[in-house]
Amino acid sequence: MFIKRQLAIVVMISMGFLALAGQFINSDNLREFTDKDAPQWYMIIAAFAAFLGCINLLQLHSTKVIRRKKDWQYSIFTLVGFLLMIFFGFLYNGSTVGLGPHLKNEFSAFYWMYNYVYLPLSSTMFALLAFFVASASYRAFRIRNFEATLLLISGVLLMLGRVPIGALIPWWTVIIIYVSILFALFASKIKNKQVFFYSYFGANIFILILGFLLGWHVNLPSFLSIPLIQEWIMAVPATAGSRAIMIGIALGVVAQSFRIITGRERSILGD
Amino acid sequence: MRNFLIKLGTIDRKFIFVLIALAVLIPLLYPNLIELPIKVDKNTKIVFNSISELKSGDKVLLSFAYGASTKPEVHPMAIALLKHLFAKDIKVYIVSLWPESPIMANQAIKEIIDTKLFNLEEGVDYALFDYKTGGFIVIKGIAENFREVYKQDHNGNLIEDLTIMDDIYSVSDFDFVFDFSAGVPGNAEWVQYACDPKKIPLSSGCTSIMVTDAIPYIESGQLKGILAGMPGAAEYEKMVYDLLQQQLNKNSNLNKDAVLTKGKALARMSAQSVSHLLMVIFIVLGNVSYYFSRKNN
Amino acid sequence: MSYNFDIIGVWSLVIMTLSILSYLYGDNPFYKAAEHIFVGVSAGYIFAITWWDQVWPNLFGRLFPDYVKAGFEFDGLYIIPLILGLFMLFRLIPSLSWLARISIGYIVGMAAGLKIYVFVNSNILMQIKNSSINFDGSIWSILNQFLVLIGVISGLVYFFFSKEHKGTIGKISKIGIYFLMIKFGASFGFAVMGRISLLIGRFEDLIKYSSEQFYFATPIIFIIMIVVLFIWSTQNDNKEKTN
Repeated sequence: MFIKRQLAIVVMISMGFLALAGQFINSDNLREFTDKDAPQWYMIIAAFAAFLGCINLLQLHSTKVIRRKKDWQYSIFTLVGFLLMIFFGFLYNGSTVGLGPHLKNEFSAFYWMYNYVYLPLSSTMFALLAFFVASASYRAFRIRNFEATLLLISGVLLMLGRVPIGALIPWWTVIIIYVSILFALFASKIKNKQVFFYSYFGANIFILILGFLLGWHVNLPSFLSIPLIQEWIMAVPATAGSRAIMIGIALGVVAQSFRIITGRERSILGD
Repeated sequence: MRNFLIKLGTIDRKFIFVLIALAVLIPLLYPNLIELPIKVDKNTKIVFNSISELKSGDKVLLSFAYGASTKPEVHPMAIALLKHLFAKDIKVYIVSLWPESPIMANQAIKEIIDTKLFNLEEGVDYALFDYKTGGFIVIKGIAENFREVYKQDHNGNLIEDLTIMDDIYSVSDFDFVFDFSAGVPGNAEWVQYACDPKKIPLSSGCTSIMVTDAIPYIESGQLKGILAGMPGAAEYEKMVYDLLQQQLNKNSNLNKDAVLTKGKALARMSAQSVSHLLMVIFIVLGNVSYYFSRKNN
Repeated sequence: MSYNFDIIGVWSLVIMTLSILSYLYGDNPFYKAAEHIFVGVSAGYIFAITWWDQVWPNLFGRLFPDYVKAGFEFDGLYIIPLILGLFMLFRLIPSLSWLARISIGYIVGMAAGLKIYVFVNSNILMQIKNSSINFDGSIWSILNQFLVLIGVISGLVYFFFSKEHKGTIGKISKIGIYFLMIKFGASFGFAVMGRISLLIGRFEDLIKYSSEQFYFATPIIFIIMIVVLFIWSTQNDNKEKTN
């Protein structure tokens, strides 16, 4: 009973303490294990975990074909693809180098399968998302509140600022964007539509004339350059937000790791 | 007009797909239609300057941690960086942290050799190592004891027989580490397990989606700049191209009769720009339609 | 009869690419078949590369050094990871699946032990240190550093759920949300950028392989797919009508 239930937890706690102790205790034997052998063992066990995933996949799709479940015909493609890669990876070479290095040799059958079957499938799967991101931006990205407005402005400025076209946007367009954002935020406070539109156009014209007088069309200030605005967004508010998330996640990871090392977290082992 | 704008918010998404496809396709079919100047980002400049400060004979460890799915973003920066490093006669060591990375690394080296810009000899100027499972554990292993993780290079040659591996025992023996990443393991793991503890300068080229997560490391100096996605690759390609253009016939590491070509990322920037502009127009139109439909209701 | 495997490969590449892109029209047999091929081929790829790059040299290279010749010396202790690795595979056998928990315990325990140290060092201490203000810089630099500090603190207050977000805590966490929203907007912008970049890469390949050198692979396969999908969707519509 101990072996079935408790041994795994004992191994988990022991390895956790050993790995942590290796960072602080200056013992040659301990360091020899934690820096040399323990990571190697980890890599080997992780490799077997990858094998487990592959064999599980084989099992799943074979069951689907044998029991004629829904869309079982497609599972044949999965099995054929898998077995072909195994055949080319272990039995048939096709190149002049030995088995093992042949995986990366451009004349091997395995490399051919990677280059002409795996690579286009993998690349296109991710590329497909571009269309759905565009569709989602159009249909779902709505300014419903101030937070959503911040998200949208940040996203738009970044999309324009990171590509060459951002540098071509003229300074007066940026001024109109600033004024538009300001008036969009205060739109609800101005009840009279005429007053709103006159003040909006007036503000734009006033700032544009001011800009000309101050020579902004000659010496572009940094707050009117979309690429520089984008750099500032990344360097200041985005950094602050990312840093807060990073510290928060790190605190969570430390707490969870502590729970694992002290044996309190058993759900990972399937309990 | 109002009804038209409201209806605009409910158009079939297939129409949007077609517009996006055209926005990408037309600039690729007619690359000279739109020529846009590249403005180099601050973080790209930091990467370029960090590499420029390295000296001839320095040792740089490159970590390839990307695959076919992210090749268009990351591969061009790998090519540009390799050109920059070989032009400075820097020794390059390539490790692979993703299953597909050994092939990506091989393809990158092959592309460099095909340019005929340099006379490179494997085992002397560069070395490639195989993929190892374990992610961050491999990085930790490299940080502590390189030769325990890799006993042979990717061709099966023993490490002891490679001239380039003299005096290389851990990450501390490298002058710089550069990571090309598309996920986990990636630049965060290099910061955490190798470069922060061992105080080795690190920089990274990664997919766009990873940049905001890496930005705290950049601003704190744990990463020396970053090449952010394809625009970052295009900017770096431009800087390296301009540098090599100046050095042609003056740099002994460059072959005299070699032809310099611009990188792939540069050519793609007009398509990227047009698509981004279209996305912004979509967002604006969608919100205009939403505004009018809300007023109507 | 010899075959030009490169041309066959190019046609296979175009078929795979267009099959995945056909999902834009809707779920269809081309997409489903390509998806299943992808799953099988990627599993096979990972299996082969993990064996030859990791297990063969690092494990069997230490247990049978004279046969594998990976540069390692014999180390009998490596029977332990072999046993733990086999235990991992026993997960597939219901009566022996409990053995896999020992291997998982090793991996999880070691990862937890390592993560405590590195996360505290790199993700907490270094980040807090670099959120401090250096008063030696210009007024704009100091102002920006103040903003970063305010953003980090208010963002962390937002994530503190042990106290209700009311009053002062509520106001500070609201500021934190604003910084987080700007971060998420930046992430969105970069996500769009990344996806468009990948799409550009695919379209470049399709354009390259539409030339005469590759027997006009892209246009021919594209037209065939359109015709087949049209026939398939018409048949599907008729089936739905009769049902």
